[in-house]
Amino acid sequence: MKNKQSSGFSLIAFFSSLKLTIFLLITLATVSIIGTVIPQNEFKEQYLRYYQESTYELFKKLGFLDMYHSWWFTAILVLFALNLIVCSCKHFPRTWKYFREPVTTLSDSFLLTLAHEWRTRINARGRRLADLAGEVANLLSTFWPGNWQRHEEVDGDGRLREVHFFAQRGRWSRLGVYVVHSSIIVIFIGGIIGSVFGLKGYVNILEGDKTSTIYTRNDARTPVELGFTIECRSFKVEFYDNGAPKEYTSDLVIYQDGKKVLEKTIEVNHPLSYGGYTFYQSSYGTTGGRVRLLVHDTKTGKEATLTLAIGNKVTLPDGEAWVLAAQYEPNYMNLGPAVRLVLPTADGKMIQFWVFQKYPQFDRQNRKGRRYFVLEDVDRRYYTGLQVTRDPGVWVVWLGCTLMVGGLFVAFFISHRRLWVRLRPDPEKENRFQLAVGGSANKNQPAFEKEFAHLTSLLEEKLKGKQ
Amino acid sequence: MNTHIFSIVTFIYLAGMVVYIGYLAFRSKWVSRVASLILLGGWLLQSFAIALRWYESYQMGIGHAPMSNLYESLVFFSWTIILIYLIIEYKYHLSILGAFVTPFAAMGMAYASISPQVNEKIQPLVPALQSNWLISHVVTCFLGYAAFAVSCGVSITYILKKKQEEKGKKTGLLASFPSSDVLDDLIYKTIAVGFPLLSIGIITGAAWANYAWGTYWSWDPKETWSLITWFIYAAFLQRGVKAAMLSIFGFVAVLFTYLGVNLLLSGLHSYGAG
Repeated sequence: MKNKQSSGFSLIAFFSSLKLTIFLLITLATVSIIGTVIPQNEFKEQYLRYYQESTYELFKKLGFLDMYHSWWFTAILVLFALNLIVCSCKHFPRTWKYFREPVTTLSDSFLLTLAHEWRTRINARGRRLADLAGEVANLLSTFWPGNWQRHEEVDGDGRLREVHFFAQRGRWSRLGVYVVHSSIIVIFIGGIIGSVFGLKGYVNILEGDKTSTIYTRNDARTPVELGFTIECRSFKVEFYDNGAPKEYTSDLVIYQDGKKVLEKTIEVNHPLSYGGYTFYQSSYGTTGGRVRLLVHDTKTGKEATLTLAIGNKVTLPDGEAWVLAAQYEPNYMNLGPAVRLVLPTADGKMIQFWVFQKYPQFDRQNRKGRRYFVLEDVDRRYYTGLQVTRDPGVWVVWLGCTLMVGGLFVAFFISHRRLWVRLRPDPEKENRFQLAVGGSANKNQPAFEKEFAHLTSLLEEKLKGKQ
Repeated sequence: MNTHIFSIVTFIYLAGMVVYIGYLAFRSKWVSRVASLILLGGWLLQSFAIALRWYESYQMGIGHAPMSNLYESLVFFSWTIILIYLIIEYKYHLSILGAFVTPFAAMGMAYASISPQVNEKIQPLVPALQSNWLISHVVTCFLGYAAFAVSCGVSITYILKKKQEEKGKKTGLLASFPSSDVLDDLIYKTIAVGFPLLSIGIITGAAWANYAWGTYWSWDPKETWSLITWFIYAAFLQRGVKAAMLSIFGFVAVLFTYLGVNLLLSGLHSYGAG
């Protein structure tokens, strides 16, 4: 039984130790580097371009390919959270007591522990202790208006023996560190809510089309039902003179149960939210839906029109070969809409070449094959690429961030300043009083030193000046 | 126009650096005055040039704050370092630190002006950067970086001084440095300024990413390295460790977050690379 208890204590000691905190922070910093050097979450083929198969397998086993979600990285984060919680719980009661019940009287031994102290003697000149204490109280409230606590000590026979004053400023600074620590836990909680209940997906919608399903990033095959319908009414993109995109916008409409409920134009940095989902403008593209080609056979002199979709092939009218429309580019090499065609040659090889809508004679003049092709028309449409997320934890994360900034500010920039003043009769001489002032600050010592000197010179001047 | 002025500023900062190093050797009040004046002059000129570049971008019809590519960020980085240094020099009268801090700013400007990798043209903003978050994110990050740069300079001074104190030598160049306690306190203070700024920088970055891409954290190399830096300084703040060394490591991480990630790693945050 005793053994068990001591091991419990040592476990708490372990989890609350500062050394563990420093060790974990340095460990987190060090291991985090791995995932910035090894690309994360790529396809196997991609990895095999820079690693040996065996290296790839090893990295995969070690979790290096998705390391920020690996069991061991999560374990370090959990340890870190535990350390923060245990450490804060261990020290908080003492701080709270210190915060709630400050020392309000100034004993001689306490005065010795303070960084700032000052003593003087004041001749009574007819004033009683209570009179002088009143003067001190007035001076103090001009120095730090408001919050002075007065404590009086009385003899057995009811005579006033000592008067203590105490005031403090910025005591919240002591709690700042706990606010910061809990903010980290709050951010963790927000992150967990997001990863458990949230969803990250995408959807491409052709201009003029509607959809009520999206796909998640991890699973491109299973559609997720949104519960409403989203339409991309139109899409626009503008370019700078140097060809870089300046801005792209999508006019989106949301339909709930067939009724239009929301209409918004979104662009990068200006998303749309509906039904718990947020739609972000993230990319765009064009589909060369269907292509119309004119093929001219120089051997037979015949011409024919072919219609086919990108990615498809069609047998030529002479039946001897086929053509594949492999790729569509809206502005290939700045020559306007173009389609890449693949054609088998007589000796069984493949050739590929581009045809341009703006230059019908291009293929005839350049390739000089048996047949030449003319790109007559492309039915092309823009599609808008939308990032779709649902993250119910995001507000918790922002709450944590706000707490953190507030906590850091309080912890770093607010100084807890305390002042004690004690007045009592001088035991060595009749009609004389002893005045002692003590002060402490947990930050910005030079500034407090000035403040303290200001107070003592004020007391010196006003209480003794008229002598 | 503005880039010519920035080239002049580079030379002024280099001159300031040389005079500060001279001050280490000659220790005359007069020399430190000259150094401070050179630095202040350079800083004012740089401030003017930044404003001018901002104005010129509007003249070109692509107006935006000059904080959008590597060139502009290097200029802004140097500007914030000198700003924070001048404040500290004014407040603590520690001209001795100039020799250890001005090189960071001078090197930043020199790199911006000389390196062929750094494009000094005013470029239009890509859609992702067209946001009000740009200024708050960049300003907080770079103020934090600059505070850490100053802290690193102080840490180097501290380590030199501490060694001398341990040997018990009372003469030579280091004898006139502030005591290691004063320097230690200053390391803490600069980090106490830098850390909240870095935290706000990371948070504004996360908020912006959430607004632009729908995810506040994606373990992108830039994000991860800023977090690595945050971890190192968080460890520093626990005290009880070799603070000066940690502060130097921290600044190495800052430099990697700022430059290394863009130049050596790939990721979402590629605006700063060219």
